[in-house]
Amino acid sequence: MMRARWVVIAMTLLFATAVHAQRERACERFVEIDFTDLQTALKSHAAERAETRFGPRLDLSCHNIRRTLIEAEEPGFLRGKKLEGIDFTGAVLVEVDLSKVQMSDSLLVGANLAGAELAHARIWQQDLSRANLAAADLTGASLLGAKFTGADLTGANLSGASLSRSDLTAAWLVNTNLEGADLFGATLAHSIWQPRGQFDRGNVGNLRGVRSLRVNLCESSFGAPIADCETPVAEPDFSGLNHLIETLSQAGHRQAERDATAAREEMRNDLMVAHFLADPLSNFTDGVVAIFRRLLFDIPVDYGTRPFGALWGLMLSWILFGAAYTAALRIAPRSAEFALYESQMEGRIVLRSLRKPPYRAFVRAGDAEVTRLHPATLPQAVKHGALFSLAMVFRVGFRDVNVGEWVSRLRANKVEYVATGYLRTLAGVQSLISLYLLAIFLLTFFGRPFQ
Amino acid sequence: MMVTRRHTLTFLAASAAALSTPHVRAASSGRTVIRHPDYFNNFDPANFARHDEIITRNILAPLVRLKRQNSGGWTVEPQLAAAWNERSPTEIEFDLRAQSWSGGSSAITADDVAYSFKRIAGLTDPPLNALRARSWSGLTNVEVDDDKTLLVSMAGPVTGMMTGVLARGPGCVVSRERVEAMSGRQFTTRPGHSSGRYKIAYLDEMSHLDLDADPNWSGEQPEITGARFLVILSEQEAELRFRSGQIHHTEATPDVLKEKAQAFEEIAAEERDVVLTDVPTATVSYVAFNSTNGPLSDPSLRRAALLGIDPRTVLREGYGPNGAREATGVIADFVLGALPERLENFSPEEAQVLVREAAYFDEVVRIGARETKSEIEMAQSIASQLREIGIRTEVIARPAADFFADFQKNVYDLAIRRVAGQNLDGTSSLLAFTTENSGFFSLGFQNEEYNDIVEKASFTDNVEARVELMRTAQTILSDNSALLPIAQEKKLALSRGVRPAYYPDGSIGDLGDWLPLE
Repeated sequence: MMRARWVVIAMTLLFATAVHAQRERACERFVEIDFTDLQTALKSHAAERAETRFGPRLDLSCHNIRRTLIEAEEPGFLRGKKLEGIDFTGAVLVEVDLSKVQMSDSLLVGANLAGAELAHARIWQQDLSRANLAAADLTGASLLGAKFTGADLTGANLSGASLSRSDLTAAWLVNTNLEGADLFGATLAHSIWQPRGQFDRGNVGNLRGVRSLRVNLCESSFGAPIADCETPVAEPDFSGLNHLIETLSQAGHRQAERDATAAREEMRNDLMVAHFLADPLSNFTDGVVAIFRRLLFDIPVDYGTRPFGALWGLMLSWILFGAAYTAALRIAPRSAEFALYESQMEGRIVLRSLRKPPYRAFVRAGDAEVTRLHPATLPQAVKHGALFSLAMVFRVGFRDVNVGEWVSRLRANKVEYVATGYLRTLAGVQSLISLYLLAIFLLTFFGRPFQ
Repeated sequence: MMVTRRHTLTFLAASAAALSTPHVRAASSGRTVIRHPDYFNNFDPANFARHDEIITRNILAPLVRLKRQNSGGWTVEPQLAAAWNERSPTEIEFDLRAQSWSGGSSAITADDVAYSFKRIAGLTDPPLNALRARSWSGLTNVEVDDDKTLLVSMAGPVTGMMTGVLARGPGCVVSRERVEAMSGRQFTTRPGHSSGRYKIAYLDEMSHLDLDADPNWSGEQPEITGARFLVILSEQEAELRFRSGQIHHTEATPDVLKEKAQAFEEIAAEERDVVLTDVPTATVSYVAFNSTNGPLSDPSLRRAALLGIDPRTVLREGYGPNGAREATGVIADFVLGALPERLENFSPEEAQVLVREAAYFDEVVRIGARETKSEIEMAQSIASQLREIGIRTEVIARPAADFFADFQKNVYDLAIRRVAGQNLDGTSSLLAFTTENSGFFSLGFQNEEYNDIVEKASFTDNVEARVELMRTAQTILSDNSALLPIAQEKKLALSRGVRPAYYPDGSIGDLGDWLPLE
């Protein structure tokens, strides 16, 4: 469980770095192209494609298309065009009118499309990785299966756009208008999720990567991993994430809802820790609360995404504490402080007072044979240690519902282990942990305690 | 070993602490992110691009810098110089302080400084045809006395040189050794060694530039220890990125001020740690009249056009209600030599009379403007006003490069143009209208008397006399209907968490003078 946890952390940092560096060098220099040359190239390429259907892509990578169109006073030249098989990698298309374009077999990796008009464009399954789409108008655009890995969609208008099955891994969706956008099957892993607008519950099915959604937690360097942040934000913007959680809940996507909730809770915890580290004296409470949240909610059940994690925790507790009891029996058998006593009575059913603890009843009744355990061999020690640990794990109950009692009845003999000295303290701690783990399992499995 | 209660509890507490160790560590450095409105092109003091001067000044220090005082005035502060002495009106002697190049390899010497200035002025062998050669056009020699002393000699007076040249991009010092080893003895964005308060940590000319405070800098330490200049071409993108907290500083230039002013004010009102700075600039926009070609070469018709244009209306159309201040002359009001009030009064009635009297046969007056929204609206406003007094007009809006080419070819009869004062002395603005610069700032205006007065003003030490001469020069411009001043431009800047610094002309100040907002 812990290993998986650190893998997730490492992946988060890795993707966060990818996002942070998303504007890394795409082109050494931009290529200027004359408008007439652009026009001719596009025409001949279209004719060639019409004949061959497939062929080499037209290379417009790193071309400054924006300047070409401005200088030619042809801002709407590309509007509604069918752009098939064109490589726009790293091209400058800032504020260019590309509305209603139909793109296929094209590349827009690292293209600068800031402020571009892409309303009602059809860009199916095209690669827009690391593209800058800040302030772009993608109203009603059809972006099915498009790849936006590391793309920047800050302030973009995606209202009514279809992002079905698109890959938004590590994308920035900050102030992005997603009103009515279709996100069915979209991958949101590691993306910065601070959109605005209401999306329909029918449009959030089968979302992937929700658990690793992020919001900006860094005041001094937007989007920077909290580990690298000098000044954390005072109040993160969870409004987009809260809306997603609510929509997922209404739509009945239980696991995705739990994942989104866990993502939010984890960020809250990270932020508390960051505040504590920034100013330990003023934010001492934050530090303490963060440690408790991490111990109680994060590690056992990942804020509700893995309720069965608590049961695995119980098993782990049984093994670890069992090992400790075995060690106590083997290493220090003569120490009174680490002795286990076995209270045993064979072949008889004993009447005992319900008001008294059972083992005291045995002793008092004189029916019980209380012996100090001295296991001669290691297997014997393991057996007793494991049984005692199991008894402590299940020493929970209320009135007639007593799990520990039920477990003890599985044995042929009526046996009760009694710990003394500091082993008793250890057993008490184990019982408390077990009680908590059982409770958190029931809470997270049947309810939504973090919502 | 006896295991005690303390051991048990310590073990449990340690286990809990280990499990809860947060994956957050103490912070590394955060950068102030500043919008850069163009790609990074050239940081060489000899050839720097307009928007790149801020980078030049941060990585390559000048001898002196300008510092704003709390009173609002400006003082010249030492930067690489320890002290200076104006030996005569044309000579300044500098003593350098001890400062090493980035990396601490060697010290910055007087020879480096002399080479830096002479290279731009074209005094090296072979001469460099520098883009910024005009800044050092008056330089005659830089004499190096020893490693730390040099004497700068100019053909003309050095009055404006301290603030207009030495404290700015062309005054920045490069490493002679490194630059001479470079092909063509110039560089674009990789100076080799830096002499300034910052050094380049990372540069992608198409995307962003990271600057870090140079630990070798032995002068006054900057408070902003790291900055990222992020290329953002689109105004809308800049605004949205600022709103979402991704950048800490963005500006609305006069070109877009009309559209952006309200949005900027709203953002500043909404957010607590955002500072909205109203930055006056020394740039004055004006209407230049063609006095040599076309219908306006007739002085009466030119005068009519001048009196028929209401500068306030043009200002409102181009800049919006609060986008600029009305200009009184070509010198900004906070600069020495500014006129207290404008010399021309809008008078459409008088203009109509002059049109009737002039030999005007309905020729079309071509109004030139750059293809920006504000200039197009200004041109359209001028066109409609001229039509009202009976002059036919045509607006020709061209991309910037084409506009300047056409302006120099004297294609327009009337054009909207700007003159940017480079220092705190108005003579730099007036020099733009001398015969030597005819075609760059005026549409063919040439006047010997004007030239003499500007030259005299440049050489006059007495401040009152110089102011008087500068005002007289502006009167000559007005009397000849060479131009009509419209607006003294300003910029609006939005800053989050920092208080930016500016130069007197409104250009962005050195990062080292920026302050974090408490």
